[in-house]
Amino acid sequence: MDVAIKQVSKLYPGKVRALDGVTLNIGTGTFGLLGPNGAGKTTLMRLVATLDVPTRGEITVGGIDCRRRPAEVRRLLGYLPQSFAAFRRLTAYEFLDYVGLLKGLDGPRRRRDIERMLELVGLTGAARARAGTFSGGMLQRLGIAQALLGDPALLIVDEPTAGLDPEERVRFRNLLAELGKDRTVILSTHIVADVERACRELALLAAGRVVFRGEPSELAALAAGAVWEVEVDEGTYERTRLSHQVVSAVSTGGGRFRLRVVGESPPPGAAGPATPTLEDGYMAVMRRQQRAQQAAG
Amino acid sequence: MRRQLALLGREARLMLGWGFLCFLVVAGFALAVGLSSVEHERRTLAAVDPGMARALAERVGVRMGELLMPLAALVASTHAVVLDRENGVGEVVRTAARWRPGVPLRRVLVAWAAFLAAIPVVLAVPPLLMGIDLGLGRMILAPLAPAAFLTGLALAVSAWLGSYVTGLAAAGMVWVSDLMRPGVLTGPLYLFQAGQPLADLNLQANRLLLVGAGAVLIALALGLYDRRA
Ligand SMILES: Nc1ncnc2c1ncn2[C@@H]1O[C@H](COP(=O)(O)OP(=O)(O)O)[C@@H](O)[C@H]1O
Ligand SMILES: [Mg+2]
Repeated sequence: MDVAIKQVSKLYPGKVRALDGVTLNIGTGTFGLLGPNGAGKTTLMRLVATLDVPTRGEITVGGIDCRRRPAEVRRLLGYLPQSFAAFRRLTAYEFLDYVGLLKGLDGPRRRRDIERMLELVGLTGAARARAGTFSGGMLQRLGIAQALLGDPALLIVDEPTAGLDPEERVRFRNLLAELGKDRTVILSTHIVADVERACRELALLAAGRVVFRGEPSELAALAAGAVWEVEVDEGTYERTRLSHQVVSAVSTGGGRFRLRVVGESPPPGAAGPATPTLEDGYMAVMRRQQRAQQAAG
Repeated sequence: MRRQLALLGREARLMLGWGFLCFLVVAGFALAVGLSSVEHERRTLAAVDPGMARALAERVGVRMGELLMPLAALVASTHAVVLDRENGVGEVVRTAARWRPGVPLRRVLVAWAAFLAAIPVVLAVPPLLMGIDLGLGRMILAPLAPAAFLTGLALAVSAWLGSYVTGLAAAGMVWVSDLMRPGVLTGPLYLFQAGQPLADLNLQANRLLLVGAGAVLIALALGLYDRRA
């Protein structure tokens, strides 16, 4: 299912420009929407999910216009919002049944789908428990189950791994990668590792603009020659923080730190080049972005 | 068809709770109190003119029913447009629903079905238990039009402002205003023309206006539910 986003801008009341001329074409596979908090990820996903309309530009899903034919787009769509909740007084099964009914699934198909989804997300044992008693992780899994009901060709999940423990997070990523085999999955996150493991392609969003679009390895490659490792004392660490983007700092005892930094020139000290990771690439692009913004105004 | 019925059932479970039942019990009691306040007079009358006695009790019944039962409709239906949002389920419901206005529409239908079923029970049981003889027809009809108007008003305001409390408050204000200063705020949309008529108002026209305005307001609320982010 192809999603085409053309020159989309979104202004919220109070002149907040949440999206600024975003153009993206997304095809089958798991697509990562990466960016810091406030970058506009949720805004963009809500527009595709027909929950809101763009101020400018247009969005089509499988060639269907989101603004003019939203009901038809919703037929193709499964959506997991950033803060998912279920009716507390309904059980997991009852809630899925309600959503299935809304999606227009008829009797036997609905029952089969619900049972399959409960199985897929590992909630079969909790099907008769009320959603009000669920832990964060269980609720999130119920959320993905409701989104998947009816086997949508387009699945949109907004920061689905937030609030999950490491084990659940890994399970979830694998599930999303798996789901992307035969459908379009758009996954937003501010956690680089989510994209690294689950996504074939990604876009990096910053302040409402697409600042990178490509494969994870390409984003990592953007930091080639700009990643360094160095061991320094505390004073040098402080100075390095001002001149470079410190990706990680590990205390090695005796007031010394082992740093991994991103910057245009080697940091002070006996620095050696390091192989860039996706996270380094993310940092490098964000750093360039910030510099450009500072230079502009 | 079966799917629609199943959906109505689910909505009924989400919409109707103890609050509605409690309100019906209270309304029944209030009606009993109202009837007993004229019981002495009615008994005296009954000895000389049974028709007049019956008319007296009926007048009290119509007045009480028209006052109380529209509030029951409000209690049953005010959450219709904000239920999912209040539960944090708004975005899920709004993306799952094929025809969005259908969601609050089904909720209004369920609430009104419960309300319509409750009217004869609440209004018939107290006089029956008290051994008071009165005609039920006008009593049952009287609350319908004001209930339709107040429901529409509450829903439109809640859909506009995004919380059921504001809708309840708006409808409650109109109700209190018409109780204290009949027709001053509402004019031709005066709520209590059946139980406490104003001289310059035609009952039939007033009822039609109330129902029409209620229907328009409900349609407006459904439209707002569809549009609002
Ligand atoms: N309903 C809203 N009204 C006003 N501003 C909003 C609204 N929703 C989001 N914003 C603003 O739009 C920007 C993008 O937000 P959002 O899309 O939630 O980003 P992200 O999901 O990437 O964290 C932020 O500056 C946020 O404060
Ligand atoms: Mg977000």
